[in-house]
Amino acid sequence: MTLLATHGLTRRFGGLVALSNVSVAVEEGEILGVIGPNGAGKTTFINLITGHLEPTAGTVSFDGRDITGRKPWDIAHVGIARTFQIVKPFRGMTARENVAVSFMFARDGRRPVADCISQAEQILERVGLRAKTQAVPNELSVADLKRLELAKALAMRPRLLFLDEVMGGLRSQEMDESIALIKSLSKEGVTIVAIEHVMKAIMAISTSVLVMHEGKVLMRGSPDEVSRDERVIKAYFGEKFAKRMRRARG
Amino acid sequence: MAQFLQATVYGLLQGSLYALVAVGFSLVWGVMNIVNLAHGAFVIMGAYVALEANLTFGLDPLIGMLIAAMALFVFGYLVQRLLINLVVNAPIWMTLLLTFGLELFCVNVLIAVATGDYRSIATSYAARGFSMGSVRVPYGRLISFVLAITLTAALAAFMNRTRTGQAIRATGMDRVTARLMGINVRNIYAVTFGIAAALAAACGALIGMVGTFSPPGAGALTLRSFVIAVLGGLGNMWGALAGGLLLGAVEAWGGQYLSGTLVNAISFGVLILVLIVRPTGLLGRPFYEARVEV
Amino acid sequence: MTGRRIALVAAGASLVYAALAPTFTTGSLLRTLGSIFMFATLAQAWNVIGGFAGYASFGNVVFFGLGGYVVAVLMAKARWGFWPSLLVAIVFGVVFAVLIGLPVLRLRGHYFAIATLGVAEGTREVVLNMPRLTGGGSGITIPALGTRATTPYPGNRAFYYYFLVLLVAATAVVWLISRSRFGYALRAIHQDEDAAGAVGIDTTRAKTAAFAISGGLTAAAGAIFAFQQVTIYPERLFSVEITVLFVVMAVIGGTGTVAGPVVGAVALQFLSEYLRSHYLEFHTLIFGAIIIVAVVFLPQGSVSFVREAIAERRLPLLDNVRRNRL
Repeated sequence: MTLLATHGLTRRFGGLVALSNVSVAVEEGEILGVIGPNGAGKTTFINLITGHLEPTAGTVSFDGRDITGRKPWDIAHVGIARTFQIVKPFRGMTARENVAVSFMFARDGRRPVADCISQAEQILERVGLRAKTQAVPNELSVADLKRLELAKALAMRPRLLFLDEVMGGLRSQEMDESIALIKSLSKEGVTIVAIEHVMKAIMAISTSVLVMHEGKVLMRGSPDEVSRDERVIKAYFGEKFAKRMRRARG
Repeated sequence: MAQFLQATVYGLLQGSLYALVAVGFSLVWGVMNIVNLAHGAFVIMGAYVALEANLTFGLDPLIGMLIAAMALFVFGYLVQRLLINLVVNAPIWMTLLLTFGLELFCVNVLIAVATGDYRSIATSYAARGFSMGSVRVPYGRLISFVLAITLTAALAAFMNRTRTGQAIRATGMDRVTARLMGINVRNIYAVTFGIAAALAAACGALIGMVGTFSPPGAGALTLRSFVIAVLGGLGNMWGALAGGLLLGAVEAWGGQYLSGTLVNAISFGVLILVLIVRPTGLLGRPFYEARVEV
Repeated sequence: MTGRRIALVAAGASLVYAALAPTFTTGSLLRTLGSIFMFATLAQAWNVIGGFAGYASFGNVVFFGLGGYVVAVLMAKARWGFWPSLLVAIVFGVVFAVLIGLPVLRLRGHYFAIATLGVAEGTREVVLNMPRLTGGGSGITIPALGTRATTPYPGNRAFYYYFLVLLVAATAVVWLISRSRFGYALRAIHQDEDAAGAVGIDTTRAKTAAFAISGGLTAAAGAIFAFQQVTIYPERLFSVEITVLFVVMAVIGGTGTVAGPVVGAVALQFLSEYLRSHYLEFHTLIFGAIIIVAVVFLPQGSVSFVREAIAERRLPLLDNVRRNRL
């Protein structure tokens, strides 16, 4: 069943159209990869859905309910979580407290502070930060910060998780660990929408891929279809290369 | 009607002085994200420098203006370089607190040295004027008006056409990248602050020429600069000019019909309204809405 | 004994001393202590919105003034007693905070600070221009003597205790906040407001609540102060210097901590009294210099400074400079 659907989602900044008439449906349980050149509007797309930006036009519905333009915390409470492309940890708190805060305000009711702190430990263990629970963000590496960002999102026990370029800056092994983690999350029933530039990762995890370009949806298909589509190649590599590929294929 | 016209003209002339005070303030805020609560104190300091030049050397305040500007440029440069630069990366209201302390310090040094009396710089020509119909225009104020606009235009030209000006603008847009491009940010910040202080001092000399000044008046000048900077959009030179003229006119009209202190309350009301409805200022650009809040 | 234990014992001892002080100290020291308690309360109240939530209000004095004027007007014009007036003053402070918060809490950083400053200044002007209700520039006098008084004037010792109780209440509130979900919410908002919203914190509600608590406590202090002064004037009760004074106290002591504002208030008030009696003309000038030094070297406040010093066994004086410099 369709978990999330956008209709004609548009966002303008003065004269600049960042997102234009984007209509996408995300099925429950799938992993939707979102790719596209820089400036395609991928992060804007997430921001509009999660309430960090207001749409200029269009609607968003989740599980049948209209959530267009709702505040970020309302979005969190219906079960949507996100990570930020440039990580946003709470800089004065330890990793454990960072995750505990997510627990405290998650959707299913109030929990005492002490409980949240101990639950946080479990989540940190899952993302591989067991050794760093008392560290503050200043002391964490890029990979660890990305893990923390993910842990904060997981603590919200979301039904839908938006990942914004979680693979950026990771080494090959770290990337494999992340891919495994995302796959296991999907098996637990979390629907995932992942923006990525790293092709290897997207092709490995996605059940379906959405390609965006200049604020619009270019196409949607299986990873295989998308990697062969000429329009996609042209968008990423330019007209010349696309022509060359066409000639090469004969 | 004649009264209204006189008030309007007077308001615009006064407003040009407010604008000149505000231009530097807006520049510092726009480029460095520093709200300098001591800005008004710089104005008064400049006025005293010009006064001294006049009393001791008999120099006309228009020349005293240049001396004041140079003196305060050095002062402002040192204050930024040696003091304010130390807290630039702290939470932003720390700089507010720091400049507040600076204001208390400077104003009270002035009071200790020069007393809190009202002073002014006497010239033979400032009070004389001419009449356009029923409206009287004093020469002193006319000269200040012209100078204020000229200096604003000069500043705009400086920012757009000189290397230093471009460096300042670049640093204002992206400090990290500016550094990577080889710009000495510590120096640029200090130069920017120095320029703002110099303009404030020049304005102080002009204020001394057309009216009176005293150390406790610094706060009101700073507050007006704030309102004007917000109205005109941060870092927007022409916006500050327009804002200053507008504020001057509104104050003059208000003064005609309302008790003096209530006019202040109105300025604040307008300020808050602008902050809520259009935080980028009346002349600011909406695209920057999308920028990450620093 | 751990550091925590030492702190608790020290706090307990000070409280006992404070409670017993009136029996063996003179009037002037009592008044000094009373004003320290009042400023500590103001700093503590500011701490909730400025220290925890990170919304540095430069206009909290507006609640102080409104609290004082509500009590004065009710007692002088409507012939109410002090205690019901105090209650109304607190409610007024809370409601005013919520209403003003609606537009003003949407602003961040400098804009918020100056907007609150504008509210304080604007409110003072309004109070000044309503002479029939507030007495305008000539002030308003609470009937405190003889048969005209609706509540008999309590006297020095009583006011000492009122301020002490208020301070204890304010500190207790801040202590409770620091350990609660609400405290975490405020800290999250301070450290990254966008991320706070994304994890489910209703930032608007949290900020408004913090501002309301701050307003209510500040109004209570203003109410007691007005009664103590008997005659009050707008310039005194809405003076921006008062705001900056308690902000500096909170900063020097340590924002976001429970003990910080109290420490800062004690230190600064004693310093202020000393300066006033020895260097009257240069008092404000030196105060300005102190603010500058405090911001440069102790932006995190003395409480954190001392904690770090004990933990690292050295004086991290230049650390803050290195951290914050350009």
